[in-house]
Amino acid sequence: MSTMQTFASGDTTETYNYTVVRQFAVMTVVWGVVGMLVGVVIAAQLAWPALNFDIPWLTYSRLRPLHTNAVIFAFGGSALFATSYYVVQRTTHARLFGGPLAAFTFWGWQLVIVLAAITLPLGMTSGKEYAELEWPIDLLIAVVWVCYAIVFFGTLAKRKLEHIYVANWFFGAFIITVAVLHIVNSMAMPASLTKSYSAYAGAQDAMIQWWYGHNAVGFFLTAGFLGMMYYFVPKQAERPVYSYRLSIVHFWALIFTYMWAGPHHLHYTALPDWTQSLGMVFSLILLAPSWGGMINGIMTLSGAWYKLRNDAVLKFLVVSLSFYGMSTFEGPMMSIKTVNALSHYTDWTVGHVHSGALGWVGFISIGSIYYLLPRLFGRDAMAKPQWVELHFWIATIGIVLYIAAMWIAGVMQGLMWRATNPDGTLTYAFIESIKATYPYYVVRFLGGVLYLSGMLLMLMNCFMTIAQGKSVKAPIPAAAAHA
Amino acid sequence: MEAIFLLIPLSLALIGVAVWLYFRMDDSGQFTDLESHGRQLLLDDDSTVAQAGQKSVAASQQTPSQAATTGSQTEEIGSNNR
Repeated sequence: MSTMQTFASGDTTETYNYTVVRQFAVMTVVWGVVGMLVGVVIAAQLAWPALNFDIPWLTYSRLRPLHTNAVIFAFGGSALFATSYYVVQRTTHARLFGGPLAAFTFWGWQLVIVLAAITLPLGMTSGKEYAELEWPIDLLIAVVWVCYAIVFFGTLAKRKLEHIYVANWFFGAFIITVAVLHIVNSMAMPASLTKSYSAYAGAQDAMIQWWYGHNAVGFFLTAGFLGMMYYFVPKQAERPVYSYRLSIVHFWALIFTYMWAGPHHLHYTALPDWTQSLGMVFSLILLAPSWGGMINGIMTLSGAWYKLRNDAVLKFLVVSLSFYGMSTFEGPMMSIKTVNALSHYTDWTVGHVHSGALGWVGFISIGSIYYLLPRLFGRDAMAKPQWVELHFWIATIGIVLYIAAMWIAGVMQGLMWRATNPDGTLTYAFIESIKATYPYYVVRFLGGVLYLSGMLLMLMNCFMTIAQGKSVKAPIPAAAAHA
Repeated sequence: MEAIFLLIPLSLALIGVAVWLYFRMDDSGQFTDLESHGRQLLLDDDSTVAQAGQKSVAASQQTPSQAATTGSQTEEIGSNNR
């Protein structure tokens, strides 16, 4: 109980920077609700197009990038900032490096999000998927991101424990790679304050874009969240990770193979054939490290499976790993050119993305935030623990409805588009495939509504937990305690 | 396909940095003991509840049968924790 005593007499001891973790943790939930609400709106628009009300700012084409930016960079990004700042401090026994720089990354990142929410509905876009923001915002992102790197690596440099815990490797790789990806892909010639043209053209631009796009999935949406997984799954299960050795192998294997998978987004395009095949081969290789990590995470519960029965937070964390396993199996399969010939441009891709986004990224973030919030506000649990359980089931049913609908719709679309009559003409007009998709769009919308409802439950639960608790200052353990 | 003249050197440079970093960290002993660090993580008590009594509430919710089958393991980890 030595930590309790230092906690009680806490004034003189050095404390962790929990303020910035608290800010990012709360905004994760807020932006989650906003981003998923926009997602539900555009899902409804696909089923009932009249819902854009003929207002240009509300058209699907403008709200879709708002949705992707909000869920990936606002919700996912805030979750990554919150957890990486927490994990790096707790595993190094050092306060965040750089003093006010951490606060700057919070306010800077929020400014980026607000600017995105203004410019995207106005139609200002560079037209690059997941990198739509115009050049002034891109510059701000670069500045915030460099500061993030300084804070994170500065903290690692002044660590008081010799060993660098594996989660920090994943967070570190995510920070460095995203910086490189963002800067290379966003190179552009400004024409005005709100319009720029890419430094690359045609197939070159497409190649750079999907080198960025896939590695954004690989490092922003995978490596960063694996960092979360390697900290919060063992902590919540109160078991060490199944194999620490495997976690190190997992990290280096992922680093050495991920970079080359991007061309699978450009199968059967103007990209040279050999580049497409290379992308496919590396995508298939990726199955090995991905499943190694997934098995490592799930097996952490070996001998502790009973904990899943009563622990809703652990349910979120472990089910996220099963979705990680599912989507990292599905992804390599879809990168096979013959499979891709059926799946590309269909809603199967949308289903695949959302099994990863709602299941893996969403659940691991939600679980981690449920772990963090009580600890950040001096509580031993969320205000309404039973709501966490309810949230889990609502969200799980939502995902199942969503991805099952999109799988069926996608395969159906692919089959309809390629069907030919004996004389070689197409069997179906494109509009017929849209008409056939209608019921699945409605089911997908319902799935989205369920997932959003769970998120609203979480938001209320968070506010109640914060109201009952108070912002704590956690002391850093004295050096002697862990020598 | 001029894009690859940028992307391949860039990716190779990143891989090169990763290789260099790996060997540097290996030399400095980061990967010599790959067993204890997983358990080390659990020794860090990050609970911020001031009243120590509240923490045991969750543990007491276990049914007797669960405690009987898994109790010894839980006990072991639990004692490490404090």
